[in-house]
Parts: sequence; C-alpha cells; structure tokens
Amino acid sequence: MFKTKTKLIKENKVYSRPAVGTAILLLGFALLFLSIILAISVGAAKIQFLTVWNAVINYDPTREADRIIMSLRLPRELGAAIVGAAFAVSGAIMQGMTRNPLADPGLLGLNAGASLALACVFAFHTEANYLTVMILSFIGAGIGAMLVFGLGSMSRGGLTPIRITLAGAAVSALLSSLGEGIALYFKLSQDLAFWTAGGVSGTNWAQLKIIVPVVLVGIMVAVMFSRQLTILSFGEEVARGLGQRTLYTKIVLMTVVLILAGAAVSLVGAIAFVGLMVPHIVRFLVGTDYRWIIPCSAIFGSVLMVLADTFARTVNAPYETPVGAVVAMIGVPFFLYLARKGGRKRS
Amino acid sequence: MSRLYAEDLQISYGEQDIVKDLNISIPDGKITTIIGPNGCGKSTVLKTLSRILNPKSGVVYLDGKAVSKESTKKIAQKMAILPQSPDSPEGLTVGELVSYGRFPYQKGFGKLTKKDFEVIDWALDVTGVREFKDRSVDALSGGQRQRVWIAMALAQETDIILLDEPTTYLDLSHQLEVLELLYQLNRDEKRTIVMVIHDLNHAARFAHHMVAMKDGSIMKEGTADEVMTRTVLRNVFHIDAEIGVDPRTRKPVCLTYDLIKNVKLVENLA
Repeated sequence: MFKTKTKLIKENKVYSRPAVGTAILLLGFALLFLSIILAISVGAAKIQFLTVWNAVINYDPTREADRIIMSLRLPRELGAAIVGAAFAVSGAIMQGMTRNPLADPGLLGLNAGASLALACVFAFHTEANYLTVMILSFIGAGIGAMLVFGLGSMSRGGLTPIRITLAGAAVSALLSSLGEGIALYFKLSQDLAFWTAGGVSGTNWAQLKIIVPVVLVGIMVAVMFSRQLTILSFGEEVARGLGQRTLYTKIVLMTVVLILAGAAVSLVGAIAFVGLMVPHIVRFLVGTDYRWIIPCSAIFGSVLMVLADTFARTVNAPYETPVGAVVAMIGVPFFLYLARKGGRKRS
Repeated sequence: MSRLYAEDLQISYGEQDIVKDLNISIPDGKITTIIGPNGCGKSTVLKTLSRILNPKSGVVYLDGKAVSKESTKKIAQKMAILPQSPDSPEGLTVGELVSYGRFPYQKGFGKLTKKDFEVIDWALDVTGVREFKDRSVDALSGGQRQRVWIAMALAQETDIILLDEPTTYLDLSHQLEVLELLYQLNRDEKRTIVMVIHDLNHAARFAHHMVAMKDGSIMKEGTADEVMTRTVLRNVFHIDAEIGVDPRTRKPVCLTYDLIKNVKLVENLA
C-alpha cells in the first residue's frame, strides 16, 4: 500500500510540467534582466554595467550617464519589453483560440486595424494625447478582428483555420491600404512612417504609466484563463463537453487579445511575427499547455523585443534601423519553416 | 423515467432542419447504439443530448432538469461526451490530456488534488494507456489515441458517457478493443453508454438497446433482435440484408447485403 502511494506521488509530476516550466520562467526572467542591462549599456554613449545599476537605484540627475539612462534608455527598453510581452501573449491566445499555428495579431487584421486607427488619429485629431491614441488603437484592432471573424464565419462551414487566415490576409491588406491612403491624402506618410519605423525610441515615462498597467492586467487575465485556453484548444465540442462556457471564455480571451495588441500597436506600430514566433519557441520548451505557454511567452516576447531593438539601434549607428524590419528578418524564415512543417504534418 | 431523455426535439443547422419531432429516452445502466445512414441526424441527436448543440426547440432532460438551464460544469460531472475524432493537440502528453478530464471538478487555478490523481491513474489503467503517460498524444497510433480520449472522458467520472463513432478509422482489432472496454465499463460499473456507430454488427453485438434513425426521425428502437431485421434495414438503409445469428455471441448479424434498386422511384411515389 505504502509502496503504491509513493509511486503515485512520483508519477503525478508529469501531468503538468511545473519543474521545466518554472525553470524556463526563471531562466527567462534572468535573460530579460540581462538583456535590458545590455541594451541600456550599449549605444552612442557606452555605459558601464555598474553605472546602469547605480543610476536605477541611486538616480543622480547631475550625472549625464544617469540622465541618459533614466530619461532615454530605460523607458525605451521597458517599452520594448512590455510591447514584446503584449504581442507574444496575444499571439499565443490567438493560436490557441483559432487552433491555427500561424495565427498572429499581425496576420488576423488586428495590427492593420490599429494602424488604420492611428492614421485617423494623425489625420483628424492631431492634439490627441497618448491615452486617446491607445483607446483608438483598441477600437481599430477590434474593427479589424470583427471584419476577419465576420468574413471568416460568413461562408458555409464556419470558421476554419484556413478561412481565418485568408480573411486575415484580405482584411489586413484592405485596412493597411486605407491607412496608407489616409496618410497620403493628409500628407502624413512621414509622421506615420516615423511612428512605425521608430519603434520604441522616444518612449517616455508618461506613456509607460498608461501602457504598463494595461498590459500587465491583460497578461494576468490571460494567465488566469490559460487553463480554459488549453481546453478550448482541444476544440469547441470537447470544451463544451467538459463543461466550459465557451462563448464567455472566447469573449474574455478575445478582449484580452484586442487590449494587448491595441496597446502594443499604439506604442510601436504594427510589428508582425513577434506574436507568431514566440509562442512556438516557448511551446518547443514547455509543451502545449497554455498554463505555461502564456507566462513564458510574455517573458520571451520581452527578451526578443529588447534584443531586436538593441540590434536595430546599434547595427547601423548612428542611424536607427526599423525594429519591425529586424523582427521580420528573423520572422519570415521562421514563418516559412512553420508553414512547411505544418504542411508536411497534414499530408 | 430514465435519467437522460429528450422531448420534441427540432434541430437545424442554419435553415436546414436536420431532426424533426424527435423523442428519445436513454435506458439507465445500458448500452445504447444509434445506427442510420449518413446525414440521418444521428450525430446531431448525440450532440444535442450532450448539450454541445442547442436544439431549435424541444428540451433535453438530465435527472429531471433541462440541460440548457443547469450549470454546464455540473452536467459535465454527470455526463461525458467524446466527439468524433477530436484533433489531438500537438505536444501535450497523455497524462496532461487525461488530467483535463478533471476540469468539471476544479475551481480557480485548478490544482489537482489527491483524489484527482487517483481518478486519472485509474482512467489511464482501465484504458490501458498508462505506459504512454509521458508520451506526446500525437505520437500515438489511432487506436491508442482513441483510448486516451476515452480515458479523458472516464476521468470525468460520469455515470453517462456519449461517444460519436468511437471506432471510426480504427482497424478491426482496435475497434473491438474500444468496444470491449466500453462493454466492461457498462458491465462492471453500470455506466450508461450511448454511441453512434456505423458497423451494424458491432452495434447489434454490444447494444442492450438499439436505435435506428432515418431522415431525422427514429424508425425503430428496441433490442438488437427487434432492430436488426430485414424490414428495418430495408427501410433505413435501402439494403436487402441477410440476417443470421452470430454463433459465438448469439446476436443477430448482417451476413451479406445488396443494394435495392429503384428505391428512389418508390419514394417518389410515396
């Protein structure tokens, strides 16, 4: 009796993977911390690691290095981290909900919708403060998503992954061209291009004060619903059979996606591929249980964006390379690899 | 009255009516098999009974209460449904997948209790998939995977289990393996089992109660001997069947059959 009991307890560990998951999470945190320090210390003015640390815990505005760190580099890196987490988590949620491994806020019309909203803000409401910009981005992302899901479910047979992807491509193209049209007509192309190409440069504390809590709350809700998301990823019928209120779950998760994607786009513009890549990398490490995928995606999304942004700003210094381009450089081959892998599995 | 029954079901997909005026009562502690041609609405009825699908009108009752009015989690503690060939999520281990069968009993973050682990282990044992516990579900064969899904349904610890074509895509021995497992669960634990099944001989062999459906209505129900007759099969499947007796199980079997020509014509006349 005793023997079977200990055996039972030992075997219980594999049902979820807390050991691996926790290790990966801790490793992720360490990596994030290191990459932020690295990101702050490299740049036009080289700053020692120790100085960075000092500036954060013991800020002295009379020192130039401290001023650079606290007013330019730290907010920028925090911005990169929060945006990366937001994109990655919203990508992970979308992949689970649509059961489509290629889902990504960029591929499903959300980013394009938010960018269109951004163009409208620049055109019609130039005095808008950051909070307004962010809220309009949510709305834009929402419109994009509604169009994609509406178009996708209109035809007979309902919402299949391939339909969602096709509708996403079409809606993204439409909304982006509308955005560009508005930009051209109002001679805003440069402003918009600056916004999207500029990435997280120029992120300030005022913006962070709004976006950080929003994104953190979004991620927290996502973590709370991660078990529900795993069940949803088994398919609607299995989920309902297990007693999930699927409609309610989907509405909550979709709202989280809109908020995260909208917030991220409002800060850096549409950056594709983060939401696509990070959950896949994380899945490779911790398996398909969203209880681990969501928190790990948040951390590794941050790491990816911080490193990509650092690379973007140092590779061709003093000129900034658009961070979106850097991410796309890694993202496109990754996307092709996934598409190939997915195609082979089905055949 | 049985625990699970439905009254006056009308079920439609969009504009199209699939099931009309259907009453069905599932005998407790028995195995019920539903047969019928493709598109006759048998899966639709099963889905409606398990509240995956909402009927256009009519009510499904479980323990005297309408399933649409009760908490869906409460129902999931009494009734499990295994849909037809569910997609297996990539990378999830067998143990992880089966542990989600405990969802109806969990609150908050869903930490598994000792009781949960015992039930999961029992489900893995009884379905014979314990040795694969740490393996990824998508790395298993079709038969093994089907048993894993059944294990998840069993982990729900329900008295009633509904299965939509649990043997589809399985080879002969795996089909029998799954059916034998369900048979044992019914015999040893008195669980009520309802399944939609294509193979008539399997349906007859394992059923206490057989339901034959056509065009969204029940044509005939009763014991295998009452349903597996030449007349019923002729009406339901438009086949001319030769029915014999299985020398091993004493159940009726369809030995051979031919298509009946000119059926369309007869129907048009009617």
